[in-house]
Amino acid sequence: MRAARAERAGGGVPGRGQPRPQISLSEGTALGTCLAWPVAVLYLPAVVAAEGREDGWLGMLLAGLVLIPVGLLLGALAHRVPRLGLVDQATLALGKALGRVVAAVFVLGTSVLAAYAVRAGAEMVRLLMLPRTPPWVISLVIALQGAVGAWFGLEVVARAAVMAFLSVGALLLVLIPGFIPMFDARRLFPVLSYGPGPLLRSAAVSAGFWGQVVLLAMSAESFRTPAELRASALRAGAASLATGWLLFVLAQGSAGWYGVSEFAMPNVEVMRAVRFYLPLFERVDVLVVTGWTAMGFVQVAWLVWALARGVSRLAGAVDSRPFVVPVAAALWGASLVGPEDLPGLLLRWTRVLVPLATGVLVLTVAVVWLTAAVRPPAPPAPRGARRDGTGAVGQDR
Amino acid sequence: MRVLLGLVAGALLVACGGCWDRLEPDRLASVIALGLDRGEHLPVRVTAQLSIPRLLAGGGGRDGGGGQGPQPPFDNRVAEGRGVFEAMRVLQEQSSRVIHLGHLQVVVVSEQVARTGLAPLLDYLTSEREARRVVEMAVSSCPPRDLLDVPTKLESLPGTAIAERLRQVPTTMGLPESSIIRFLNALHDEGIEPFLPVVHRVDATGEIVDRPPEAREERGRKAQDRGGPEGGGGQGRPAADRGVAQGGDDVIRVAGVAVFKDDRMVGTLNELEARGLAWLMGRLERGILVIPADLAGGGPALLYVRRVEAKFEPRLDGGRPTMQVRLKVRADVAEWLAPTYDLTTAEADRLEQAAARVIADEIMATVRRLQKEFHSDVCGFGWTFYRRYPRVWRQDLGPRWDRVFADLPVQLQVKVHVASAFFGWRSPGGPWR
Repeated sequence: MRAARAERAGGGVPGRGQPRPQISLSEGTALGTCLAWPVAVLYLPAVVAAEGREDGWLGMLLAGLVLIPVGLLLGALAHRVPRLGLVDQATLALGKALGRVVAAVFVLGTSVLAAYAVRAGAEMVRLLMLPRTPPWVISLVIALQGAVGAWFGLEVVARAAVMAFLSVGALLLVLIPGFIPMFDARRLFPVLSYGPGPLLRSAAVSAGFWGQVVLLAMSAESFRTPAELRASALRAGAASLATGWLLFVLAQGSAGWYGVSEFAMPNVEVMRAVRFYLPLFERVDVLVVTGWTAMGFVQVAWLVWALARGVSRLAGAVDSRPFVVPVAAALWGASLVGPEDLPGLLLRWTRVLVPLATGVLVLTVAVVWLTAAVRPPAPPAPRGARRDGTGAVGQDR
Repeated sequence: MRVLLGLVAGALLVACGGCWDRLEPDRLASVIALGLDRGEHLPVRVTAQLSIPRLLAGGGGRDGGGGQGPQPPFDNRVAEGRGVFEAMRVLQEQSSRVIHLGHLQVVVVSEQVARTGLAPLLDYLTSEREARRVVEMAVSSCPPRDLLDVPTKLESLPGTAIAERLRQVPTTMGLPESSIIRFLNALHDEGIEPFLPVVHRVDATGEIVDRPPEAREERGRKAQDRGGPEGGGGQGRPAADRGVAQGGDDVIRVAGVAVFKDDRMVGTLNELEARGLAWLMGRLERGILVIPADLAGGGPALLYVRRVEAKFEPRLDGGRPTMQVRLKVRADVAEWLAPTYDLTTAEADRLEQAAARVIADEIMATVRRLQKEFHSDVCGFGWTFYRRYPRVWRQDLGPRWDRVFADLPVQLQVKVHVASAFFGWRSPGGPWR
């Protein structure tokens, strides 16, 4: 009974006799896309434009290069320490004590990004739809639905991610033509007129968002092969970058870099000026909010799952489900910390905190991989095998 | 477990319902148009046109369709304040329903207010989440309050009539639409200044009635002195090169352009000068160009403009900025009141030269006025310099662009290609039949 529950919760210990959830390549791609895209597409453009001026669109593209080493790093680590999540990989590679410290740093970084995602989502809902509703209520709802998603396990979240991914893709196909009448490519130029500084600054901020595919390390054991993990990370990164960059280019071409930097959520603001669909749709921005809601909920559900999973493994527990509600509650509380005004949130969190947290996450994974490469750990027991080697306990899904 | 899930679902339901933001449609007062003017007691007077859905339903208009009597389907509410926000708050206090800007279509600003700056209005409109960025903006030559109260025949609401007229500006005037986002773009972009169309009250013949007759005559004389036909931009009479309306559908007319410097209005281009601006922007497609009889030969010719390409080529000759403008126009002979309808090659050449001369005159008249009188670069010459020479712009041209623009040599090259509107060179209805 307990094993079945653990299986549903994705809390089984892979290679330790417990079946684990499995996600396919397409589910992994959709999941990886949901990790950064919902927040990036809303809040990143303003900061990138402020930092990069006309060069922001180039900086965002340049930041996409970070995806390649991150994807390769994930694949390489999964190859060195297969069928385990990051916490177990770290303890196996670095030893129990040091491994837990490094894993704890990763979990802490993830929690920072998760709190930011909950707060960013709450601010979006408050600004666009429910201006009189207290932010704590909206944050509570977001954290609660995240808990519900995480409670049902990684596979459920992954399937929801595929649905959200496809829905948002269809929405983008509908929305993008709406920009065309306002778009003026001359607003993307001149480039590099202020030297490489703005370009690099905007690239650094962008890399903080696109690099968040590194979070897939928490669910590394759920991929069938290291190659699938690597491919999922790279594809997810490419999809996030392509759509995020395209929206940014369209926004800058429609409102200029200054106009983009002036609003908290420039993509939504520009879409509020789309006339293309009048009089069929008067409020195209509602579609954006719908898309964000779909992907944002998946994002938060995954983050709650990943944190619950990380904490449970740090605590040595098999089942991560008992940690789901406390983690969601902690996230809700953490999301209320910080400045109440949105510009303050943007400036301090989007510009500094997110790139810093992502950088720490990538560094952590790199440390674990490097150690595992220098001193290869003993391989874990085969999948589905009992410790005593007498046979399989359950079937992988 | 089920209890926990039930509690979570219940909490989600309660919170997602939006108890704090519950807003029933029948408790809203939808603002269709906003007018901004100087107040009698306080600096800002806001006129908000509220639609009355009860009277709009069933096709009712000013005549009270739907059996509602003669009451118009709108209510113009007026409030004054020290700023737009305060005036809107006063409006809210006067209303039993929640003032809602989600259906706002147009904002009309009086010339007086526009000359003091639109920054407070733009701040209000951009911070107000309900108002969309596609809301039209215009400057009115009369108090907006009067404009929002005029009877219209085709539209039930005067605000809608004004908004529809402004949405036709790209077609009728060859200028970009006058939405908030476009104004903000011009305000933010380097080396370009914003402009807005001007809305007038006119009588059934197109005569502008928002100025006293002596003022109209005076302005008309000034326009004549400048060499342009009068009347377009609030000069009192219909322009010489356009038809005269009889029994128009309503009494609102969009003509002329209010020129801004930053957020402050600095002057007005009349209808002909606005067309000069439209040529420069390369947008005067589907427009009509009238070639006077003395230039066309035989009789006046009406050219239907099919395509316009404008290209700005900024240059720094020894550090001295110059601007070369190249304009390519393709037009059809839509109507030629000449003794013969045959469009021979020689006659086409003559028409092309005449058209190029007329266009060049219109453009240069506009540019001269912008340079010498308004010092406002609404045509975006500076923007092209900024993109071509960004470092020079930042270090030298940008900070002193106002003075540079005033003396900027502009070389204009206009090429017109005229074709017959018909398949052959002869009109099917011509006298040769």
